[in-house]
Amino acid sequence: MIVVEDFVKHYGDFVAVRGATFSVPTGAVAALVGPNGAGKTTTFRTMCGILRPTQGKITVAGASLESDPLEVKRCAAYVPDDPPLFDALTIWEHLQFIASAYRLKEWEQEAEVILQRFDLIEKRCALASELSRGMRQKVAIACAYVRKPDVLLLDEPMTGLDPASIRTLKNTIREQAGRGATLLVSSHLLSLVDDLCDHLVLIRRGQVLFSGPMEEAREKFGGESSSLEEVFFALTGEPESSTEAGDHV
Amino acid sequence: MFDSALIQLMRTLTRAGFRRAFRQVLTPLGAFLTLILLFFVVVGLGPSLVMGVYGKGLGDSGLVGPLSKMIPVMMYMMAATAIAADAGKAILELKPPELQFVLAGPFSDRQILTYRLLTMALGWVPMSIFFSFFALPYAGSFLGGVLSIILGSAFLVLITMMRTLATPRLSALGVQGIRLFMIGSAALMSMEVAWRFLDSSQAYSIEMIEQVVQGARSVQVLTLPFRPFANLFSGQLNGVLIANAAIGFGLVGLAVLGCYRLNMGFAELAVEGVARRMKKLERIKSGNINSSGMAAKSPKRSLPAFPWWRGIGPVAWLQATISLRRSGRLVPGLVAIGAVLAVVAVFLLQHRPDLMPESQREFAVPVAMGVASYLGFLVVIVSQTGFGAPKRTLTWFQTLPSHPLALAIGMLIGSFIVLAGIRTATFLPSIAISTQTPLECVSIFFAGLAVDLSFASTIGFVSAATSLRPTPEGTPDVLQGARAMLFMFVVSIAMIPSLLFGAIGAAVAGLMFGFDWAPCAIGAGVGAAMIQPLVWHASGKIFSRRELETA
Repeated sequence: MIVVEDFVKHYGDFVAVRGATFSVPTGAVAALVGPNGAGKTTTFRTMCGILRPTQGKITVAGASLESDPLEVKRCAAYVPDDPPLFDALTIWEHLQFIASAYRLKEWEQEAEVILQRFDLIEKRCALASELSRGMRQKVAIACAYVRKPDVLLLDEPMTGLDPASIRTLKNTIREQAGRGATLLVSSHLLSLVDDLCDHLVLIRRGQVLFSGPMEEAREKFGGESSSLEEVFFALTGEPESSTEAGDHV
Repeated sequence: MFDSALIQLMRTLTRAGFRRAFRQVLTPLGAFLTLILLFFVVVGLGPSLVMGVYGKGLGDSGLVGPLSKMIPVMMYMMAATAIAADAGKAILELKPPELQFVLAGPFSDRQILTYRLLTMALGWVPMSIFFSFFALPYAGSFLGGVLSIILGSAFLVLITMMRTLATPRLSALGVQGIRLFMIGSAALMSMEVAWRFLDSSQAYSIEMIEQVVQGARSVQVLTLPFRPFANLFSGQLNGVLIANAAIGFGLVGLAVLGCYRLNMGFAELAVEGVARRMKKLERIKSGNINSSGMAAKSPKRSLPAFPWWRGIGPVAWLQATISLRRSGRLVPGLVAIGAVLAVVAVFLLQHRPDLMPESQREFAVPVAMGVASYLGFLVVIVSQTGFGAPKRTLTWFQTLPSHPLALAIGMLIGSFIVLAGIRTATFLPSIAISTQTPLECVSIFFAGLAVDLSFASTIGFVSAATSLRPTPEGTPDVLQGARAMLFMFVVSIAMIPSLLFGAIGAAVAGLMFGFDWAPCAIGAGVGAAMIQPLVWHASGKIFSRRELETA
């Protein structure tokens, strides 16, 4: 479960997130969507411990980021947009490192299955520097999956993936939720997350415009098509004054 | 041969470069870095200028004369290495935007080659003039020094380029033949010099080495094309200098002509070069500054996993793997060379005990340790490992559930392995020739390892605590040199506590056990090592609290 309360993040004078409050229940797949510069990546990076919140409380899988940041890091896996890999390491060595750093036991078989599914098994001994953008993305996802974390934070995970890999990713996201993991997925490709997510967090200029079940969003803001795209434009297209944080939360 | 559009492009790019540099200098950080750069240039150049302008110069001193006579040999060795390694490929590399605007433009191979030669000259000539100021006290005349450096380096570059431009005309056998000839001729020179060296009955001195080298028949023949440049460097302003300058210009002219004659398919070679350059930029961005260290193909073996060690193990394993892969054969190669040199030294000293004066043998280990520290400093400072890695990669470590202290210790292992490898490589031949006791030698080696540990920790601390890096993270700019100097300056200051503790340790050990090499070296090593946990604690804490994205 993810609980974010009154989260504020400043970069000097610039306010990236201004009092965001939302929660994602255990086992849910939530879409974190919003226009460019909405504060999605800042929210992700804070939730996984890379950034520190200026204000507010963040709880990930029951662990408080403030009082037990190491436990948060143990429970949460973050896949950044355009993930940086270690160019001197092979795919398999990345997984080895993850297994060793998170003290995983008997992980090899699971890792092989993941690599197989993402069509990386033949490249397992290839250096990261030899991989294409999409393959690097898949390696980062595999590194996150092999840990079987309680919470998965996926920032634009579909960027650079081919259609087959997008399909695999969507299937595996559902499977991760099926085993009880909580997933927060950001994407600008609304049609791709539309059928995947059962929960929505819509954010604009650092403010949460909507947080709740996807069905509720569709009913209230989806119009005739009930699509996520309609929800997005209905909420973000309104004047800012009438969509203050908390209005729809 | 010239195209006005390309000349216009060169003019615009040069103007844009100056404009960009000027804008950077006007920012507060840019102004500060410029001041640092100027300070180091003045400090570095000042003595050379004063000695060159007001003094008589060092051209006639006993050391400079023999050394300047070695210039043709050094030039031949450089040319042989460059041609054998086909270094001309790098010279033909164009910038990625030039792929679209120059290579794909309506220009002939000849025009593109002219463009490349002119852009090279635009950068090369001012740099050569700048470096000539450093050489001022050693040159016979300023004009001779400048011409020698400009023409000599241009000749080297052009003959290397000729070899690459000839590639499409050569068969695989031809390419291999050229490579073998260059390697073979360099080896022949080295062997003849080594044989003459062993055969000589003269006492060891700089003059003796010079005579041995110059007397070798292969040296006399093979270095002939490079002699006019050396004569130009050491000659006074007179008719001979003009004659040497004319020969130098003639040789460069011939090399240019050779480039045009051999030029066939410059575009293809340049396209390959652009692809290589783009890969190189990507590699630098990802933190790998070494070009050849990491092989393009996948590695056959992995380093065995380290034990958990309270979270140090996985990070240390990662850093060790990255460091060993990036430095490639550097560390094992140096250790192997060190071992061979040690064996050769033992053999030589058994046959010629008078080869080295007793006084030099006594200080062999301390001098070698000093050399190892300097070499290690040069290699590690640009290696971008540990906390010095690019910020994007560092985010990995911020998401790890590791204690900050464990993280800090693990992160320094990559640098420490390289430093310790270089130290071992220099220690082996030095202990072979040293007249000190084994205990003294090992004690000094131990102190050296403590310096390595302190240095690795300090680089980690400075990188964790500041945004300073000695190498560019984005597009390299004009202030990069100043940034590197600032980084080194900050690292030097941050090393003071470790060095101070080392000195205190040495003094305490000296007072307790007597001021001899062994106790003082062990005391210094223990003293310097003792303060490191504090440095690791601070580095780990600062790193885990830092927000890299906002840095």
